[in-house]
Amino acid sequence: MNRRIAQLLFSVLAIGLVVVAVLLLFGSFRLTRLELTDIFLFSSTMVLFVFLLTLVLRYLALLVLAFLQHLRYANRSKELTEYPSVTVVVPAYNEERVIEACIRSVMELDYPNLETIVVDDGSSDHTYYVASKLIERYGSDRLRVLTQPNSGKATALNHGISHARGEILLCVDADSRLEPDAVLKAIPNFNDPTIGAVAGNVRVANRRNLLTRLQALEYIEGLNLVRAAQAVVGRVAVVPGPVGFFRKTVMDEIGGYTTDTYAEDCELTLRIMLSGWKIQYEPQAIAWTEAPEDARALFQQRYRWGRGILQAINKHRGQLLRPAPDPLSWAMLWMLAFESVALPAMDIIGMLVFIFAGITGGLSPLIVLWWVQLAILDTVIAMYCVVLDREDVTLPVYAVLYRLYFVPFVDLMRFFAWLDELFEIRMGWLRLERLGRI
Amino acid sequence: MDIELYALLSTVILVSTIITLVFALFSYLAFRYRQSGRRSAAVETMAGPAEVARPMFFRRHEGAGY
Repeated sequence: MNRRIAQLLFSVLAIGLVVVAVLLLFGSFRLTRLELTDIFLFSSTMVLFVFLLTLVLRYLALLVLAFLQHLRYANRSKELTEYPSVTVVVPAYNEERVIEACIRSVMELDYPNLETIVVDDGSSDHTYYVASKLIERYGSDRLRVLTQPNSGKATALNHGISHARGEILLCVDADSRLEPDAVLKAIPNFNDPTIGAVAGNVRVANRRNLLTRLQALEYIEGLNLVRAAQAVVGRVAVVPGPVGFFRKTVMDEIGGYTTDTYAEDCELTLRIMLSGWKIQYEPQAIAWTEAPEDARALFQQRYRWGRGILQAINKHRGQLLRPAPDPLSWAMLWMLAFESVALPAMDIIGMLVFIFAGITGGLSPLIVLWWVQLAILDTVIAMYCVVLDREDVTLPVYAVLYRLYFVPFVDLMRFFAWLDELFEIRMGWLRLERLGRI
Repeated sequence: MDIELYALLSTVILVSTIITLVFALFSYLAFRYRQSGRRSAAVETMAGPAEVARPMFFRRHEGAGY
């Protein structure tokens, strides 16, 4: 059957079933207007209650796990008896505005046994020239610049990895800048031979307007808190593109990055995890990255992330039904699906229920109390993350706006991304315009 | 809390939510419009030529891992 027709039938069938179910329900009870209103109020209240309960339990679980990780992290051995060789791989496509700052930060890393490979992915600007010029300053033994016809980020990373001589790989986005001690802090994690990768701590560098400050809050509250919680069991679900450490043998074993999703970092992490390797989170391996400064750029970024993560989950969907041999990895795959699909969907449903409840009237106190609870919850979590991450103390101030504007916007972006993915809408990489603010 | 204050605050919350949702919807429509205009242009992508939209439920089984 033609796939388009099958999709259409599938959608019509799904909508039809829901409509029939609702009609049957209402028809069978022969409801009066008053009873309908009562049922609507009761069901709205229940939906919002379940949603709030899920959110509170999620936050509670994340807090407890992140705190356990913090305790364990404080007690772990941070001594380095030897310095394994590290290769930094930086893929770059039209990054002339940021590549110099990125390379400089890599060159200033406080680590003795390190080489750097920049892979120019067929840029049409001066990226290759800017990067090559830096070889004169730092020497060709410390910095190598490769170039290739435009083939994509994953291919560029694989190209760099194929030339790497280090035992540990550090993959860095060209729009990011590393803290000098990032490698020194991350490497002790590899003392445990079962650890295959380590996720770094990504922070927003350009906190110039409200939108980037909200993203700074999101990075610590929405991303790093989750990573810290997942690290308790050594199963971090996404090693971020701006700063990710990998054992070279693991990368060789699993075949490097693949080009079949828009979230190559997430897909790679899932493959490493599902191969039985542990993945840790290192909060002190900090990378500062350039965040989108306007809504259009933010939309593009989140749309790509949304589709990419969905593709990665879909690629490994067979594992969702296989708890063996590693139940923890299986649980983390479900957690990723929950965090990236179920939670935003719940948020959208919650918002729609709000709007209906507000328009039909009668739920004003509930709506206000609901938002006050969420705002308090977000603020408390933000304060906790700020303390734990030693971040900017003013960030929790934005928690209310974060819940009121940022979360709905981002969740709806994800929803549109899923729809487009479902209906096979074609897309390019949606590369963001670099502003040179790292 | 006073009932008028509840009404006022809930109105603020609802209006904010609706504005955000409408803004998100228009962002999406604008994005789709820009994408449709870009189709015929030669696009160099960071993702590379192999990365195209991947069907979800009606996938043709092609490529490694699928």
